[in-house]
Amino acid sequence: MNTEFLKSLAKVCAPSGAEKAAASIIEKEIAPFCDEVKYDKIGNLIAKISPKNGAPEKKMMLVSHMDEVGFMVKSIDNDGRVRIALLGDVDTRTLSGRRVTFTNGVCGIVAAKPIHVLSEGERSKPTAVKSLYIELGTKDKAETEELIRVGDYGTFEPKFVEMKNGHLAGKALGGRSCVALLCELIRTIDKEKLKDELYFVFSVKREIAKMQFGAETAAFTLAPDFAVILDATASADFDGVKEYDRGAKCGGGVVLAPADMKTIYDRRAFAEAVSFCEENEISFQYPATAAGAETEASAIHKTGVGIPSLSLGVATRNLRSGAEIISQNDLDATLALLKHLVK
Amino acid sequence: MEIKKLLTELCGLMSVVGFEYHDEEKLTALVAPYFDEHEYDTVGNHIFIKRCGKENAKRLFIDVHYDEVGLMVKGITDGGHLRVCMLGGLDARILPASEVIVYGKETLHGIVLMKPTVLMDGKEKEKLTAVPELLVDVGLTKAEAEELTPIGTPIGFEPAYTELRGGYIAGKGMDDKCCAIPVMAAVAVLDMKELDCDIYFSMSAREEVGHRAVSSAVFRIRPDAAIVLDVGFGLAPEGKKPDDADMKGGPIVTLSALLDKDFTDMVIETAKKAEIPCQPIVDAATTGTHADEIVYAAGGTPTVLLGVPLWFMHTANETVALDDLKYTAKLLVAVIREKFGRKDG
Repeated sequence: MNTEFLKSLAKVCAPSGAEKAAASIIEKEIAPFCDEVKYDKIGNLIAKISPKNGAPEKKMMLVSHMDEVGFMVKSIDNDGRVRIALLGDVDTRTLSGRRVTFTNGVCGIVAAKPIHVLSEGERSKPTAVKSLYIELGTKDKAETEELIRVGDYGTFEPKFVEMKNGHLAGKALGGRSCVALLCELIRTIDKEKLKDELYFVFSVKREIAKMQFGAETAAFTLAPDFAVILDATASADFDGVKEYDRGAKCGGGVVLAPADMKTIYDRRAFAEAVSFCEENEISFQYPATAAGAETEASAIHKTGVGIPSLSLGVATRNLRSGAEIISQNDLDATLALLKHLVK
Repeated sequence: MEIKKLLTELCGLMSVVGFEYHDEEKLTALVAPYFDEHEYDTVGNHIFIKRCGKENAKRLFIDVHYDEVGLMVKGITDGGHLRVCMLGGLDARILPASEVIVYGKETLHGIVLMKPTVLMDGKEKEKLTAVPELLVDVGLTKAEAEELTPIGTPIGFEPAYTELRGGYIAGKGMDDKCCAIPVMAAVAVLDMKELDCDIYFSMSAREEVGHRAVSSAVFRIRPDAAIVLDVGFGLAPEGKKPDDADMKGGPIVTLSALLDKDFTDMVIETAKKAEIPCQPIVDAATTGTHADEIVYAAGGTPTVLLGVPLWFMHTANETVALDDLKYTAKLLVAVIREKFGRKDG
């Protein structure tokens, strides 16, 4: 898959609750290929593609969230330092010493207690988020408030690193590669041959989801016959991690599992996807720990009268850090399967 | 002289301790234009010399170490990931998911791996991964890694610089290359004809692994006086007064029994007279800098220690204030004129 669009998408700063920057670049990318592109009441971007010939047989929804983990400004100290609250399950150990960006472009450095005053015990512990602050270089609260306000949003520094053998790294890259896959799929759809009506949902607020997901609002409105959910799957496929804890393998193919922690996927769709991959030699994997993960399917499959759902995953190392790592091989495998699932 | 540009160019050079030679030609190209001569000694110190033109002139030795903390490959896993050890005492808290540059047969981007919290149990979340267990991913297979990034390959932080509000610059390698900027700025301003000394500016190697190289330079030069410049802890939240210096408070002047008292008093007096802000800070018995070696080497040298306040030491985002670099340059000029200015007019 061509990664040019992914590159610009990955550099967009769009944490949960402030997805507009991601939405507008996606909208611009897909609009020429879609029959309709609109936003729902909570900010989900929904694009429709209808078959050219005849009435649609079924209504299919494909979902990928466009938000990313990040933080919100919680308070500003009198000396101008910024205290934050996390948006999503950011591992605080990946924040300390890191460059971060606010959605308005202001940059800062996340800092923790200075190293020369740490006790032995503190040296081996991750810093609690309440002890972290962002240094902007300002001299006091008033000067900081010229740059940012309580409630402003930020993320890890935008980054897109090309590594050897088709590995890519950057912030939010797992989730954004799923968005890029759907955009690539949109570009390649042949409306002449299309039978189903397709709805592409670029959803909001996934990273802050506890019980409710942004995507389920779109699922309720659209009430599709079938849903495919695409998301990053955690990968720790390296030495020092116990075999059963490793999650998906980066470069091991599309993550295709019969279930996750909260969802049993549609068994017919799962079986069909597996046999398609087997017959066409598309690499896929069913990681032992996939059942420990959770995707938007957990909410979508029981929306309204129920929606048969299937989740696909892109194996992502360093999930929810400033440098997530994915493999282009996995993107190609996932795209091949997606193309097959769209009728 | 554009301080900001020079600062990021110089600090951006790869000079991980033990591998300081990696960018030595670039370093020479940046620094040598400010001096008359350049020597590269037996243990990796660069010595830049500016002459006053007088025979048997006194020799002023100025030391800034140019090595920096980093990592080194010490093993390769079956998955092709690099096992690493630290070179110098870098702040290991910042390593998980850090971007690094691996200086193997090719220069490669690497990312430090971490187990995501979704795959961790409660207890694991409470601990930092110890450095011997950290791995760096460069996207290579084991066989490729053995070829391209063999054991012993150095790893550094990416040279990326951020300007914060208020003239602060953040990035890697400020410790201690930022201190070369005031030296170069001072030399650019000083009229050597008005001085009774030659200036020997040693950009010294191997400080971060225990001050291994500088005494060789001292034995070679046999200076009459020495000024050491190293970064010092800038006061940050939860830091400690009176040990830490205020950022933008001007250079630290270390008060230590190890150093030359008269020379130190003169520096403070000169700063006062010239109205240059500086910050006397006590490090009573030992300084943890090259001064500890220079004082005693080659028959002994009267030495003073100046410091540039720095935030986030030994991380990829060491931060200094341009103001402090400027104050330090001014103080150097004033001190050198005061100590070595021609008395005969």
